[in-house]
Amino acid sequence: MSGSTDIDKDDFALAGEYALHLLDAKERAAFEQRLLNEPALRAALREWDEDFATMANEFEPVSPPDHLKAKIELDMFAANTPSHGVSAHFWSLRRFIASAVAVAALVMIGFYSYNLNRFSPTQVADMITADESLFIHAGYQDGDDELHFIRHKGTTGEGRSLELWLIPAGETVAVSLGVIPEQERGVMPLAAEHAAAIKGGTLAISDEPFGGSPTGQATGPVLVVTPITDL
Amino acid sequence: MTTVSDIENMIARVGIGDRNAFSALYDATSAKLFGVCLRILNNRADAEEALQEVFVRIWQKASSYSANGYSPMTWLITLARNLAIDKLRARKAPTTDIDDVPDLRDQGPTPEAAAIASSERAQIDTCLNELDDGHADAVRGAYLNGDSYQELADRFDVPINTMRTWLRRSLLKLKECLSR
Repeated sequence: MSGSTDIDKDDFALAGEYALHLLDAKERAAFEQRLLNEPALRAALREWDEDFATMANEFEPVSPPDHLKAKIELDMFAANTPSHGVSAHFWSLRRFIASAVAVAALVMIGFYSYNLNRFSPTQVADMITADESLFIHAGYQDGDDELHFIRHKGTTGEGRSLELWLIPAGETVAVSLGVIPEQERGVMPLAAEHAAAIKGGTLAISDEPFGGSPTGQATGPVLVVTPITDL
Repeated sequence: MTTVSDIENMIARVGIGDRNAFSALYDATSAKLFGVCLRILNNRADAEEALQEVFVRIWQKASSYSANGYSPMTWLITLARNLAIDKLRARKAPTTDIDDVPDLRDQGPTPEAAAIASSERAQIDTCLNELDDGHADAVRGAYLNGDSYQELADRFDVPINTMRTWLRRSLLKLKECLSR
């Protein structure tokens, strides 16, 4: 509790007002400027913060929703992830695979339409962005090795792809399920370990360069994160 | 149970870019910090957005934590509270979603609760009680709800300058009492 004794009362009160967040934007900015150069003022502020924090037990802890952690990590680490020098070769390979997947998806759409009546989902997720510009429904039938989707609303930007991610229950790392085909409805193939992780998992869509993320982690903005619900 | 020094270690490791430590820190502190955001913003969607920004800020600032001399929960709570109030002030019309009251309360003591000796808590209560009528409520309202001078002035039905003079005087009295 030392270090703040050599500042005057006005400054002491000012530090308290700052700690309570009572100063207006201009005063606040001016105070922050002073903090940079005045250790005694920083000490005074720290004393106030510590004193006031003894009231913090009145802030009742509330568990945030489960999907929020995954969203935070997906957003942050996707943005922070250096591209690890992924080679152009790898990138074009991804692009090739993505095109191949797109062609395969086209073929499967016919198949899906044919089998439409036999599909009855056990898990679904309605992925709607905050601005409601994109609405994609995903459905999964227990035991299947594919995920059905219906694009109710929204298109992909020029030269961009929408990539679908799965965050398995209890996990925080998202795995790519691939690029969502441009069609209004279709299916995306699922690897067995991904299919097994649908139940209780969370789906997310990120906006990626054409062909999907070149890094294996989301590189573009995460548009929507939606927990999968059981029907 | 997570101890204060566990939290301190986690912050230090987050400071060097350890994602596992970040995950552990989130697990240990997100409920408390979400509680702070919810209390201030009184709206679930806003509080979720704020919590996301809080953890981004923690990731960015953790490397400077060890030099600042704050106890870990004070640092985290102060960061969350300031950010939530920034959002509150930026929000044009204050919304009061009574339906948004917290429904998922955590059980058991938090590291923060364990860390703060009850005697310290009692001391600030004692000192707040020494203030003139209502002034303790003003300090509490500013800290716990993020009330602005305008809101306090409206509540006490005095001009904003009077409110400010009162509050500054109360802060000095409070400080004098706390350092006794």
